[in-house]
Amino acid sequence: MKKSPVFRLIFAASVLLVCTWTLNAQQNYVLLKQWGEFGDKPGQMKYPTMIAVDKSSNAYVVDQHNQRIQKFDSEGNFILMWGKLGTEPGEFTYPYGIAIDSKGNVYVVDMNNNRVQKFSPKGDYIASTGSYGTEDGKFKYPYGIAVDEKDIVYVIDAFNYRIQKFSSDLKFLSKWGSEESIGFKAYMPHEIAIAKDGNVILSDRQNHRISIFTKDGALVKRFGDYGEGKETKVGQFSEPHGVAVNSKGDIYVCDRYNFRIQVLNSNGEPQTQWLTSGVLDDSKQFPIAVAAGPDGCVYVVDHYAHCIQKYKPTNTP
Amino acid sequence: MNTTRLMRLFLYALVLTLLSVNFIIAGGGDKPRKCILVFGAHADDVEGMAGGTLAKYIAEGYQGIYVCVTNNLAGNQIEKVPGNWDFGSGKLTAAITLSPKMYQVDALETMQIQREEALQAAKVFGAEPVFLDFCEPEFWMGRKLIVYGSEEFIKFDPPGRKQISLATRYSEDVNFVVALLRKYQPEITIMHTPGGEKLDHGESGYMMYLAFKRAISQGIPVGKLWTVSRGWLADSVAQQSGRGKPDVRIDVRNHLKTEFAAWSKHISQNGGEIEKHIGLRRPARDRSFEEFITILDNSKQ
Repeated sequence: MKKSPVFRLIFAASVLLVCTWTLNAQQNYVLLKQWGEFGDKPGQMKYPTMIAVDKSSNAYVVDQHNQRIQKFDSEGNFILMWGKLGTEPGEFTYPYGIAIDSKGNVYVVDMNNNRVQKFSPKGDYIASTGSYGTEDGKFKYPYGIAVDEKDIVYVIDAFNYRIQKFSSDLKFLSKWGSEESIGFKAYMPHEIAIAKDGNVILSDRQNHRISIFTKDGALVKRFGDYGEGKETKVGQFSEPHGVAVNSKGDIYVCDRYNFRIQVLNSNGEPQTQWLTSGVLDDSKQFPIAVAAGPDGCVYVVDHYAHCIQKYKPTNTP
Repeated sequence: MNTTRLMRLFLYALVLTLLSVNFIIAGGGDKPRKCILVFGAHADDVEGMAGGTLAKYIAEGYQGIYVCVTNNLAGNQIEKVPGNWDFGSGKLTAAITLSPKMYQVDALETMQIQREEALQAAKVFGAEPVFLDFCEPEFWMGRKLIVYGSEEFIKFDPPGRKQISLATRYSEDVNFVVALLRKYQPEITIMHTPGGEKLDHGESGYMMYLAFKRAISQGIPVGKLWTVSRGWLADSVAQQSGRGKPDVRIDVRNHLKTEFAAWSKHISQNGGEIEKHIGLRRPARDRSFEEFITILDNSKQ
């Protein structure tokens, strides 16, 4: 059957339209909500650092300069808070990282007290471990923390250049991450996350790279390189900070001096990105931490703007 | 018991009490060995002021106290790692991070990094590190310098005691340094030039001067207070008066290795290669001798 020129034209236009739609149908993220401002009242924050989201989409935020943890519901409504400056159980001196286990317990890195504290979902103190030092179970400025599906706790021990693993009751299990064992020196790594396959993802901030390790510290993959400014490509980073993984295994990276979140697939291949402050400049507003909620939403901490941003993925062209 | 015997007993008791009080005020106890205390404003200032002298006296058996007066909020360029910096051009060479610039890192990280480096440096000397945590007047927030008094500085409220120049105005802060002198009773204390070459340096020097005077007045057995001759004291006009001339000259040629090894621990400030770093200064200072001016001498009391 011979096709008419009109039919061919319509067919070609249809193919072009479908192709264009497919290309543009990558996931986008729209800002749903933003909450927080500078202050010390409930719901206000002073230089928040890391964030963790539980199974009910409640967000726990490390309110660093208020020396406390704040818990919000998924709409950003304040629920409760705990902590104050100090060294006693339940007190903090510049807390940094935060993570949640399968039972909803909350682990907080108490950075300048060189310890990790464990709390109930209501903020009741349960246990702690660590003090300043180089021995197993001790820390020299712990930063990021993550908990895997078996409730094994991973802590970045920054100035001992290692990752330490603990049981859920904070008993030391093992350590890894030395330059000899991984083949390079992690340079101010800040955040850690668990991949969908159980591997461990590390933001190697001053190396501008992301590294993936097995649970025992064997290097699986290392990707990214330095890029900053208008010419920066996806997959390049300038001081990548917070990292998180969603239920599909996608990896979110706070590319802080590019003022954006980059989304990578589980192989580290760039998928999409968005600017969190809306502009690409050297303002002091930039993303420092990210968490993926069970509802697919993404929560971003802006350290210097003292706020939390909640983004929703969309598939609209 | 007659009145005279009672009076005698009372007098003995009084003398014993006074001796005990003086003993307690002075810090008491057996001082196991003589002490040298170097009062540097920032991490690495001890080395720059008197690193060779500290090494020499420790080698001679003195207890060495390595004091870092401020909390080191500022001044950290994290890209300065060994082999990563061209000392001639001041630019990065084989940059590990590939970043084209040497950015400062955030305030809390800077404090941590420099404290760790100072701990390592003190260990090289065999000295006891002491951190007083007086606040620096500036820090980095992202890539923006925040200065004392600004809205951002107040909001950030960095950890630490008062800013050092303010602290010299307050008795409680001077007493904080007096307590340090009471604890160590140093035979030799070395400080920056009061009012000297940099804000924190000069104010740290002045703070020690105030504390040292107060320590003497309280009967604390401190010895000599030396200052380096820098800044306005080394100014040619000031030198014409004949004042500001060093009266102490320490031969440190046999201790330069220790000094440089300690100094090179401050990687974030000198790239871990201090000999290249100070070699850039023109004219390079002969480091074979370290010279000081005696400001106060309580050693004959």
